[in-house]
Amino acid sequence: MDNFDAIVIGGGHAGCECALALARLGKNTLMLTISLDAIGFLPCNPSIGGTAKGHLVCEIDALGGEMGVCADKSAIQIRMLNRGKGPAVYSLRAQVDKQLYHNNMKKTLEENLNIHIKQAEVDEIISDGKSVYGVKTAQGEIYNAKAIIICSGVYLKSRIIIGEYTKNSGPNGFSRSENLSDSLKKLGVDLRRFKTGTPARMNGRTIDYSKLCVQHGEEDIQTFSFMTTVPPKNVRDCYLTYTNEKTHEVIRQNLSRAPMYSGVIKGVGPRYCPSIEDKIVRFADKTRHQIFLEPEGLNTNEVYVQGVSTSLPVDVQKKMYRTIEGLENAEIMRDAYAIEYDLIDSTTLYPSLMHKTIQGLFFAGQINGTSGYEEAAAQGIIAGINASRFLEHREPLILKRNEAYIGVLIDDLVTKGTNEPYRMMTSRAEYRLHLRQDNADKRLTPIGREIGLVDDKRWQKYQEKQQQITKIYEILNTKFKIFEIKDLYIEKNESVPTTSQTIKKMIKRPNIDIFDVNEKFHLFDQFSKRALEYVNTEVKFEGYLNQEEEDIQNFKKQENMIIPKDIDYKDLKGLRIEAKQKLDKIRPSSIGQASRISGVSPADVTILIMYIKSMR
Amino acid sequence: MTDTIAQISTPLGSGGIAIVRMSGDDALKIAHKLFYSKKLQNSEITPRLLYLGDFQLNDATEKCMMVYFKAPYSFTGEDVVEFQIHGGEYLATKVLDELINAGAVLAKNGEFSKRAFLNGKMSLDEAEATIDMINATSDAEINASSRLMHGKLFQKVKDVQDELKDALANLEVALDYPEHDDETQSIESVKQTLKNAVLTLKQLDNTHENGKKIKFGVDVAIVGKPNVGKSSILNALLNEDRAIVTDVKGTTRDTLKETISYKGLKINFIDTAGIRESEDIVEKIGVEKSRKSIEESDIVLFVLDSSEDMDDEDIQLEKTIDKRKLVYVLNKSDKPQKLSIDGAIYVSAKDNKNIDQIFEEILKKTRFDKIDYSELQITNKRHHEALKEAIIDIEEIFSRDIKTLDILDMQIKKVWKKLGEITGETANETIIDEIFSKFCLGK
Repeated sequence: MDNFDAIVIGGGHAGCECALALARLGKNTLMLTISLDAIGFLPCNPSIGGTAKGHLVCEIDALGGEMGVCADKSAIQIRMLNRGKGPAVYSLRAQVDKQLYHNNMKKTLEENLNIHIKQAEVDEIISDGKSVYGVKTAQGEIYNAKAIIICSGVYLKSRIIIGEYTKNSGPNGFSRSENLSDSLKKLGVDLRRFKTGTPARMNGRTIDYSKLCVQHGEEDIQTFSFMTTVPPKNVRDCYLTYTNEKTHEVIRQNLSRAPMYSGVIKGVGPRYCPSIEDKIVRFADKTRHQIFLEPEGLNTNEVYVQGVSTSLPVDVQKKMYRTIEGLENAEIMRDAYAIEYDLIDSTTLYPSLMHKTIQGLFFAGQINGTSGYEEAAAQGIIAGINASRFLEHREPLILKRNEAYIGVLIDDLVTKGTNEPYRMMTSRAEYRLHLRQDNADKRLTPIGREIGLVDDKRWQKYQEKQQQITKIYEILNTKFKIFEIKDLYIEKNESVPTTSQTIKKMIKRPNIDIFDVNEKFHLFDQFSKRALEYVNTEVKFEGYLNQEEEDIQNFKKQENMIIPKDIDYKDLKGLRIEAKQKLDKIRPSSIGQASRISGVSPADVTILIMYIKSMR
Repeated sequence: MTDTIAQISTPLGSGGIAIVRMSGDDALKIAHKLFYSKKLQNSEITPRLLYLGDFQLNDATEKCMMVYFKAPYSFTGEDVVEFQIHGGEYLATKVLDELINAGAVLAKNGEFSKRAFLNGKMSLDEAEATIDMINATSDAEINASSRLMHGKLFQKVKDVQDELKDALANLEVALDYPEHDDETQSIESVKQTLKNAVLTLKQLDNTHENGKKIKFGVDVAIVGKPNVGKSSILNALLNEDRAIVTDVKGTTRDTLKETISYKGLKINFIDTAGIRESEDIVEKIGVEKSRKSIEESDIVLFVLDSSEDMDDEDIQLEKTIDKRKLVYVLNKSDKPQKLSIDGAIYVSAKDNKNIDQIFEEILKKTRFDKIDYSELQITNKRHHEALKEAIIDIEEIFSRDIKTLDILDMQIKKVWKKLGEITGETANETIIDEIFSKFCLGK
């Protein structure tokens, strides 16, 4: 029982996907976690998805991962964001029941025959600095494995800060990891420190919703998982409120007691997830900030106050929250807090997420400098796949920037690194129009199948959808006479054409889509909504997709120019010193990756290309 | 398939001959569109043979030589076509323009050598020499761009890019943070930004004309009836006895071009044949050329004899000249005066009187009297191309009536990147930084 193929340290979103990927690829996997109650835990907001994050969940699902399935099972409200802003940015977002999500995920892990779960704190990675052999727990047990994946989240030497009060602790009262940081440091792994935070939880019974704007879920909506057949029901609402001048005044008066400004916090905080005191200082001219009140679950009254994370002292928090409309009498059940934690420099990793100097040691999730459940899970599944392939002596799976948001995420991490917790955004993707939720399956399920994560059931369903798509395309060539379609054009405010039109031409009009055509002619009744949506988007945006495709072709050319692994940059005449150092540190696998390193100029890249060509 | 690239291969500056080189799959196809030779009419082109023929410029043809090197037997290893052109840099640039209009793209520094290397046409030793060259040229580029950096021109492009960046940040926030919709600009205001941007870019693009003038000079045609003293005025302007000056009508049969520099401006004087209806074939050609000179030049000095009234022929000629270019020069002010025109310059070529006024008028007309020479104009052809493409891209946004934000964003980004080719700012990160500096976002 003490020998495993792989050991996953941590049971958060990265750890869960990682362990499941390993297990589903046939690897005997041990998951060690500080607390079993922290498996699949959502320590911050009770929601999954949103812009770019929804894309990540769909991609994890398309590869055969678990997050989408679990989110669908645990959702209590679901919405599609960005409708009307274009298909590239449609983003699914679900409010989930935290307890349900945890239970569902834990159960899935427990049911898997290849996964062994043990509550234990890891103290030491057993390694000679070149390879890994196993881990030693604080309780003194030793487990052996040739692949170790560290998914420790924010638990390494973490510290909670609430005003003047600080405590060495993991999030939400879970205990922190005391010694793993030191073990990593001994192995030569560079450590850094970041900060993040979470708002207070209120008792919903004490909130006055009567004055607030309600936000309902949407019915009959797409799901995260391709495999979900019964869409989740909307059983809870969210509410909208705002901070006001009084709120800001309380904060300004107490700024000297805010740890960010009194010097208690030294870690680097995220720009996109600032505490309320940060917002007030940095955006002094704004008179109000938006707040969402989100339910934490079905069987609890707890409400998450999105938009007001803080590390102000408890007495100030209480005063501050109560200035907000609807929260005048609200009772805080959990205080807002900031948390500081150790993490690694992600540029010390290969795109496979394996450490560059220690074979078999992988890192995934917040320890790599990201923020967010979805970002963590995305790295988890890739680290799991690649740890499995490492054990089989096979080439790692590296998704390209034109293939997936996951590819963008990992490429950014290992090529550019990050100086603050990294959040996925659609703006980070160069080929946004190609990386949609509605084609995540098309992009990634064949890859997942080849890797071995996509089971027969999913594969069959996927192929059925592809067959449907082929048939839909055939039907698109059906021609209609003007008198047959005139009404539709008039009804949709489109100028009536003068010759008969194919359906393809009809749905290229901005105001007409495939569903409008079907309503009139019922040619597509037998096809699934997902298949129709996909074709509709592909046809409507054909021109722009082609335009982007040209850019992708150029991108691919550079990505396909592989840099030999053993290249010695010191020998390259003509490179500037800064470029040599950066290239030697990142050790890019392709010319494309090299060109994305900051400090490497186009002239440096040209020189690099010439050397590679000449070395052949 | 690779792009077909083109560039002037001989060093810039005046010279008797210039070579324009083209390399790539479409080189021959593009050449055939523009180059006509009798020998090529009925037979396939033979590689490595010089062909004499006519190169079709905008509205004229130019005699030149063409040679074709078939892949892989060429410098770059691709299909290569070279044109040998008389007349140096000015004509070479026109030829290059035509090649680009016909589908070639402007070659980057060292790109021919780079292709040669990539196609295995160079040894490592030679390659290293090329690398040094690329380094040198990129250094030169850095110097040039740092000079540009201080210029108002650069600042203007940068301003436009910054405005677009602002619009992009707004769009990206709308896309990435739907909950902050209320804070972002509407599509209409983004489109207004674009409208302003395209105006500024067009103004900038016009400075390209000035830039060209700085580089190649202003073309000033001297026209008028035979024997009004055009050639003597030119001589006075040049202070040299170059053109043939006689009293026999129609002796200056060909156009003649002389360049001098006045207060930093290069001026190309073009003396034209006396314009009049003629049966003499040789003279007819000259007359035709004069008409063309009037059309193509930046300024036309219309020379009249002030001792005589304007006749029908003069009035006919006056009609052919664009008023904005027109400068009346009344010669023979030493004789008794009959003619008077408002704003005209009265000179006497014979006595060298008031000749300087002609120069001042040229400066005024080209607005060079108002140009600050420390302000750099767009002289770089690549910058000009980038500007032109950016303008076209913006105009496309309006003509296509884009409805969704993601597409609008994509198209503006394209423009923004184009301008980045001038300012050097193209990274996505810059926009993301802008988002966070402008908007208060997050949980």
